[in-house]
Amino acid sequence: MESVQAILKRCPYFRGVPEEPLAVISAHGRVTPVPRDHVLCEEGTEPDKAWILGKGMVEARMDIGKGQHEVLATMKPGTLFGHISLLDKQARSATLVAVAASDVVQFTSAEFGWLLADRSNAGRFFRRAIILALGDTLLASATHLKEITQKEGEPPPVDNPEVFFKRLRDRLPARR
Amino acid sequence: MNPASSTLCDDVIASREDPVTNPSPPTPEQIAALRGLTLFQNTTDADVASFLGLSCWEEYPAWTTLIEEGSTTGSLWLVVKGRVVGTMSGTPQPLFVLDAREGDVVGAVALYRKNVVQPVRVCTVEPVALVRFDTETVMKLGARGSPIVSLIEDLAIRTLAQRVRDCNVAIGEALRPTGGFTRVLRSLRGLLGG
Repeated sequence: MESVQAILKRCPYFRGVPEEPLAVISAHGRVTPVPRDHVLCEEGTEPDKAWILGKGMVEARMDIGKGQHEVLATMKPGTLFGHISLLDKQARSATLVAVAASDVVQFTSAEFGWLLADRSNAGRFFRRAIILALGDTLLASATHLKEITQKEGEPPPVDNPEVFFKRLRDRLPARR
Repeated sequence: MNPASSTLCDDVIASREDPVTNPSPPTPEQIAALRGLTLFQNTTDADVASFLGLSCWEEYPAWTTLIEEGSTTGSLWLVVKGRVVGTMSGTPQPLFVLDAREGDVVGAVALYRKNVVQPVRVCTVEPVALVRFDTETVMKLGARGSPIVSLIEDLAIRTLAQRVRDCNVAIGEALRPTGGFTRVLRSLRGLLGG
């Protein structure tokens, strides 16, 4: 089994992190092997961990009723996942299932929180990794949503600001 | 794309990729506006002044495009007043994937990923006041352990996590209904703004 540090070195979000802060971050994670079909967490449950996939494959599945699920994302090695619920302290929005025998680096909620709050170099690099991972996750989620909404009607011409802003004004959500 | 007014750096507004420099000291009004944000609640006027000294104060009217979808930007924006939204093209109605208000940051991913292609078009929907940083400056401050940069990162993380959550909720609501596509679109109101 690989060490936490070796897995983090292969993770794109930790690329270029010097040895010292990487060692600090690694000390807060633990490599856990999981068999195929192992459920890492269930949709709707309280979050207590985030993971980085070292080896194998994990799916994020959303229950859509009648015993069916939608695969929101398929995680490959190097992916950080399960972090959204730790960040917003809300229930899991998906069930995470290993679809192959996998090695995951596990960060408990306390370790994750400690690293986020750390004001040393380790915390700085950890926050950088989280921002990059969130950017990728947001893009993937928005693209997924776009695919769902694309099917009906014609999109507005993007090069016509007048039409664009009219539709924007008409559809603007209320201020929260 | 031109700002309604720019009190600190008219000479560098024209190109968003220019490094930000500040030719004049921040005004008391600007310092007060920033002190009103949660991010700066535990800072001093001197902290805020030094923060503004490394940034560019910009003001825009409503319905101004700040960032074109598909463009690259090396800037990070802090919304001091007003509201900006980010939309993705290609859907019949605007798909809102960013909704930033006072105290929110925009462009955080560009901090750590050079030449990132913007996946959204960012527009003002109210008159806004923004503070813009070039990412090089923020990186240098971060490397020196600036507490302000850590706070900006915390804020960026919270903002991004909320947007992911909103998208996932909208996906769930869109996929769970049983009755046809009209129902699917209706359930997307939160993000489509209907």
